[in-house]
This record gives sequence, C-alpha cells and structure tokens, in this order.
Amino acid sequence: MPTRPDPPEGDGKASRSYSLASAPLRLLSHSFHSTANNHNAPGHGTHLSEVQPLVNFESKLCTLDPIPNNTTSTSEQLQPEFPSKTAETTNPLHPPPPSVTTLPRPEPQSLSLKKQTYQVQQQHQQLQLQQSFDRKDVHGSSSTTTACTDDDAHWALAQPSQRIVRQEEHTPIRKTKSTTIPFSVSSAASASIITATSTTTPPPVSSAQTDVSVGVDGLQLLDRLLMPYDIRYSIFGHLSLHDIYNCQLTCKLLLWATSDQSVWKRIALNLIQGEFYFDIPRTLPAKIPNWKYFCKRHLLRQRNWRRGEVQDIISLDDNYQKLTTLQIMAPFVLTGCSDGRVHLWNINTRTLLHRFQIRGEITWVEHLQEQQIVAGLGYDIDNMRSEIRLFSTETGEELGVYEEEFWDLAICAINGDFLVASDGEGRYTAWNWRTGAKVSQFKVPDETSITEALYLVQNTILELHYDGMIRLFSITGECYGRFTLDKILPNNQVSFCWLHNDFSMVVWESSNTMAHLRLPLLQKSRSPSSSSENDNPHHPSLDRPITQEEWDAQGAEIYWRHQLTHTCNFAAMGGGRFQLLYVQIFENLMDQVPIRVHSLRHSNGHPTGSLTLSGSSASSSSEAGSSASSSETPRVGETEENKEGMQVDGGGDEGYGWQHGEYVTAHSQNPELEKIIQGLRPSRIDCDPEYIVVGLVQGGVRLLQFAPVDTELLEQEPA
Amino acid sequence: MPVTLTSLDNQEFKVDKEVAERSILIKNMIEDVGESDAPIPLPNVSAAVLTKVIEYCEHHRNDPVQVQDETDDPRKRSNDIEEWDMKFMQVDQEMLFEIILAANYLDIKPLLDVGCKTVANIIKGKTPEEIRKAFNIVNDFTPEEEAQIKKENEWAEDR
Repeated sequence: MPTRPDPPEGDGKASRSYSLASAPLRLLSHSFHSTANNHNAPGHGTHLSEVQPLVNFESKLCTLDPIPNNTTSTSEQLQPEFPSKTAETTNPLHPPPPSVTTLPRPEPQSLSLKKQTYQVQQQHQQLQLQQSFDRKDVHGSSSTTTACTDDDAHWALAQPSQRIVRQEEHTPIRKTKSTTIPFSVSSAASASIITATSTTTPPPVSSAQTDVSVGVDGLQLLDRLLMPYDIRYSIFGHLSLHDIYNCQLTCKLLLWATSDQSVWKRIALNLIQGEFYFDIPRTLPAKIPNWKYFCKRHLLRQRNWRRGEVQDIISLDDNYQKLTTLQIMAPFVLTGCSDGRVHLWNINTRTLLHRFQIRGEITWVEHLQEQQIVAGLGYDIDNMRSEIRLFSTETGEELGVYEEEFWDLAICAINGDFLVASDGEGRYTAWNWRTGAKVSQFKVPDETSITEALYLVQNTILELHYDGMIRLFSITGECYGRFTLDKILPNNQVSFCWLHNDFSMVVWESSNTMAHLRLPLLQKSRSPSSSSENDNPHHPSLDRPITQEEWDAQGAEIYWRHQLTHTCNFAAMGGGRFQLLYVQIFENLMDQVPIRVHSLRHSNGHPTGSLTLSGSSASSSSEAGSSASSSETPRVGETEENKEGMQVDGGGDEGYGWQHGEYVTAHSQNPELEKIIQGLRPSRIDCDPEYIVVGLVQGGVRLLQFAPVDTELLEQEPA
Repeated sequence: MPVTLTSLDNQEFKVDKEVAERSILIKNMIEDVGESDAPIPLPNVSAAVLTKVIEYCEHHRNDPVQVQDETDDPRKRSNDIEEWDMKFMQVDQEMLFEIILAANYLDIKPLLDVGCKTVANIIKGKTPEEIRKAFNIVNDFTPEEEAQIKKENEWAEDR
C-alpha cells in the first residue's frame, strides 16, 4: 500500500476515510485557456482593506454584494524597491513604450499601390541621383568592393540616395523606447549626410557609376531588401526569439527591421505554440501594450517557473478558517473552508465576488463559468451528513439544495446539465440542476476500493477508484465499462491524485512514484455537448458500452513516471508549461512545507540518460528565517529514478513527456517574500500558468505569482 | 498562349500565360488589359532576375494556388524548403535578394516565402558577428548603444 500519513486527528470519523491526501479531484470544465487571453498582470496599487465578517453565518443564504479590494500585494508593501504599478517612471533609460501608431509600419499594400510606390521610389531615387552626394559610407565604415554587372550598377546607383532616404525613415523609430538608441547619434548621422549632400561638388555620373561598380556594400543590399514590409515580416517571422535578439545586436538596420509589431506577434504565437491546447490569441490581450511586451512577459514567467522563483505574493483574506478545497481557473479562485464558507474571487480585479455558506466542511467545489454557477459539497462530520448547494454567480442566490438521507460522506460531479452524486458505495442520484428534478437513482455494484472521485464526461459518469480502477456509467446507471490500469501500472497500488482538464491524470503508484497518464478515449471525448464532435468518428462518444478491447486499444499510456525523493501527499498540475506541484501537507504548523515544482518539459533536448539541472542558482539569497531543513534542501534537485536512467519514451505533441526528475522548490530572491513562503502551511494547493494558489491550514489564501513584477512591464501603452 | 514580358533592360521573355500568371501582379495586369499581344513591361526586374523568376514559375506551374493564411497560426506554418527550391536558391546573395524583391514586386508568394526562408536560414543560429559576416555588414553601434540594447533585451537571450 502506498505510504501515506494517517488522516489528521479530528478527521476521519466518516465510514469512508477522508484524509487530506484524498482531496477531491476536479473537473476543470474549461479548456486550458490561453494565458494571454485570460491572465492580466495584476496591479499593485491596491490597498488592504479588511472585510467585515458576515453577521449571520447561520442563515441558509449567505451571499454578498461584490466587495472591492480585499487583496494586498505583499511585494508592494514589503518591497519599497519594487515600485507600484501606478508609479510613473522617469528613468531616461526606460521611456514610455511607444504607441504602435508612432512606428512607421507600412501595411501590406495592394498590388497596384505597391507597384506605384515602388515606381515612385525609383523615380525619387533617379531624382536623387541627379543631385550631388558623397559616396562615403554613411556608417563610417569602408565599403567593400565587389564586382557587379551593369544591372547591379543600376541598383547600386540607387543605393546612396536610397540610403539617404532610409536614414530619415530610421530616425523616428530610433527615438522610441523599445529600440532605444541615443537619438543624438542617429540625428548627427543624418545631419552629416545632409551636409555632405549639400556641400560636396557632385562627381560626374559616369565616375559615380565607376565608384559603385567597384562593389556593393552588404548593408546597402540588406537595406534595400528589408525596405518592403512584407519581406521583413516574412524573413523575421521565421526566426526564433533568440535569433531576433542576435539580429538586433548586429546593426541599426536590423534593429529597426526587427521592431515591427507584426514580427513580434508572430514571435509571440511561436512562443506559446504548444504551451496550451487551445486558444492562440488572435489579438493582443487586454492590458498588454504590444507584442514584444507579451513575449517578454511570457518568457520571463516561464523562466521563473523553471527556477521556482516567486515574484510576488498576493493574499486573499476574509477571516478564513482552514482551507479544505480550492481551485484556480483564471480569472477566478474558488475556495472552501472547514466552516462551510465558499469564496469566489476574481484575481484580476482583486475582488471577492461572492461568499456562500454550506453546512459542514467543504469537501468539493466547482465553478461553471459559462453557466455562472458555483456548486459545493459540505460534510457535517458531527451528524455524518452531506449536502450539496448550488448558487448563481450572477445573482448570488441559492439555486438549490441536494441531499440524500443515505449519504454519509458523499462525492459528486456536475456539468452543464446534470449534478450527479454518490454515497461512495455505488448508490447514485442524478438531478437536472437547472430544473431541480431528479432524473435517476440507481445502484451499481460496489467495489472493494474506495471511490476517489467522480466526473462527468459529456453525460457519462466517470468513477475513479483508489486502486486505479475506472468505471463508466450512464446517467441512468447503465454500465459502459470497467477498466483498470494494470497493464501500464502493474503495481496495483495506484491511487489518483490529479485529473487534468485534458483528461490526462496524475497518479500515485506504489510509494511516492508518480505517473502522468494519458487516456486517449477520454481525451477524444472531452468536448461536451457538441453534436458535431459526437458524430465525428475521430471523436467517439462515451455514451455507449466500451469493450475491453477498445479500452486496451485506446487506453491509458504513460507520459512520464518518476519516483520522488520527497514524500508528498498532495499534488496539483497545470502551471506554466504544465508544472506539476506536490507538497507534503502537515497539520503541524511548525514545520516548513516546501512546495516542489516539477517542470514537465524537454530538458535541453537530451531525452535519455542525462540529467540537466535547472539553470537557476541554487544559492538562496534569503537565509534569514529559513529553517534548518530548508537550508539543506537543494533548490534544484533530481530524483533517484533519474540516476537509474529510467526513461519513458513518447509523450504528447505538447512538447513534454521527457522527465529527468528535475524539480525546483518554490522560493523567492526577495528576502521578505522568501520568509513568507517558508511560513506557508498549505492545506491545499493548485496552480495555473500564472500562480500557485496555496490554501493555508491556519486560514487564508496566498497566490504565488510567477509572472514578472516590473514597472516597465506593467506600464500600459499610452493611448 | 504566350505572353511577352519585358525586363528593365528591355529584354523580352515569352512565357506561357499560365506560367506568367503565377505572378498575381501580371495576372491582374492581363485581366485589366484584356487580350493583347503587347508586351508587359516589368521595369523593376532585370533580365537576369527575371530569368530566374521565370524558371521558378515554370517549375511550379502546376502547384495549387496558395491561399492567403489570415490566421497566422504557427501550427499551420511550415519552415521546410523543397530540395529543388533549395538548389534554386543557391545563388549569390545579391541575386537572392533581387529574387526576393522581384517576387515581392511581382506578388509571387511562394517564391517570396522560399526566398525569405532562405535568408532566415542564413541568420538562424548565428551570433551577431556571424550575421555581420554573412551579410558583409559592420557593427554601427557604439559600445554604449550595444550595451543598452543588450540590457533591454537580455530577457530574449535568457534560457
């Protein structure tokens, strides 16, 4: 049996063991949406204001009008050197980012216009040729000479005058922020050209031809090539961010040419490709001033995740009791406490949207954003009763109460149409929660193993058992199949710890071995209530009996597996680049609880046999307040399994699947934040690409932010 | 039915209409003018470059017309270059640039794509100095400017 701490004292009076470890899994009813669309950099100009506790906790209906600003940014309070978002910067090195409109970014032109423009340019160049100009290289370097044909000479003749024109085009851009170069330099260069043009006696055209015929400067060629927008976009759109960076360091021309926002948009889309299953943003998300900012923020956030470096801590406080369940699904955080309160926060606006009350300790919550409801299950340990309540997040009103007399500790699941609950021993009740009508009540054979969690996939009940068994039922109780994971996890000591929204699942296998599994059958059927998908042979419906053969053919496969060197009893998945978090949850408030973060990603392209530690520095800059255990715990570590060279091949198209046992421990370079992190005593954790959400044993919620906190980053584009 | 194209240096090229219309510019010109034997002037394209462009269009005459991808979805974009195209692009840099400019002017998107990918491949994986060498350009930044750019963009280099 997997080693697991006994349930803490005070829990576990139920006939079914309920420990902190067997926290209900949850179905994320959303697709794993794009950070760009749904996460905005939180502001830091908020002030802590203590929310007054509800006067009457006894009433059935306890909801609140939206309450503003119950959050505080710790870094703002404790870190004077991290200026607030609202503070204007006057740093000359960081002038305000330019508005896109200030950049002379030629739009793709119609064919006829393009031709006309090109001809006009040629005419202009011809005109310039008639004027005198200095052949000296404007960039101060000696021009190289190469043989050229008459054709080349024609173009070469055009170069110097074109260069004059181009210089003037470049100059306004170089005034702006993102390509900041001292303006005086470029303007002086322009001035010198103009001066030379006006004062130098023009040589005869024939000798000019001769001069140019000697060679064509590479810069001139490149300059001419990069003049059309379409060409710039097409060339640089194929380059990686790192290549763009190197281009920008090459010369002023390439710096200018790589500054187009369209180029940065293309880079941004390349960056997030594979990060998420869905939702590549078509337009710039709100509060993101330009695509370069988007790229920078994204990359820095990913870097911080890899290093485990927390950038900021945001507190959500409302006189919390112990957190017993929580979930983050941006922009919402939903929490449940031991006193039956359910909180719904909007972390973008830093507001507590609703406070609901359910009898008992909250063991399960779910937020259906599209349907605008919150559901929660409360377990009254004293009376050994469970109740489910549904609330509207639109009006705050209670929509219904659901309970069965035979329930002790119940488990449940909800989707857009149905609420399904079980007593954990095979007795099911299903309601249409919209109408409140009970649609079915049935009994399925009980199993010896504990039912860990329920889900609704389309309208099929997915039942997950402690020993890794999976059962599928219809809403009316028709059994569609009973399957095990024996073939891929022969240990027979499987227990679930996390179900991702793509229906991949993380399981514990034996003693502290975790495996990430893919269930193609479920994954293909995950889109709910889409008739077109249900009819599509590539998206088979789950509402039917499934044979063992079909299950075996499309059954589970392992993404990765590794053995942890540290014990844990709780895990979550879903951070940036699919981070896996795990913690050891204690009731002991004295011991530090490191939050370990595994990145599920390729590691330097060496999939087998090699360990690459995260590049973060292992040194902690915050020794103050650290416990003995934390100071000895490496920031970047490896698991034992990696030393044995165990490797799991395969993996999804999402770019992860290789695991090398890398993990980092969430920490901060900021001493004050580090102190807070070390003081965290989590009872629950969850994560998404932006945050680790920690529910505390002593009450309260902390958001550990991995996106950069940077004044320059947070400044919005001026209108 | 052949059409006659006249290059910048007044050299005439007779090509099949189907080949010529790989260029959207020429296609539109033909449509605007209607049936005519008059040569189509291309004053921005030299004979040498036009020869190469025609060679490309001839080889790809039966390719399906590319639909403009409005979504810009990177998952739909391919960075591969066909073998023939790769050999076709093995010309000196100046000619390569001229082909790209001509493809842009003539609105031959596949040729533009191949040319730009070729240039992108020249840049890929190179340090700034190597890029300068590849394009025969010099560093026109002052040390201070260079340091400032590095500082502002070091996040892009970070791993």
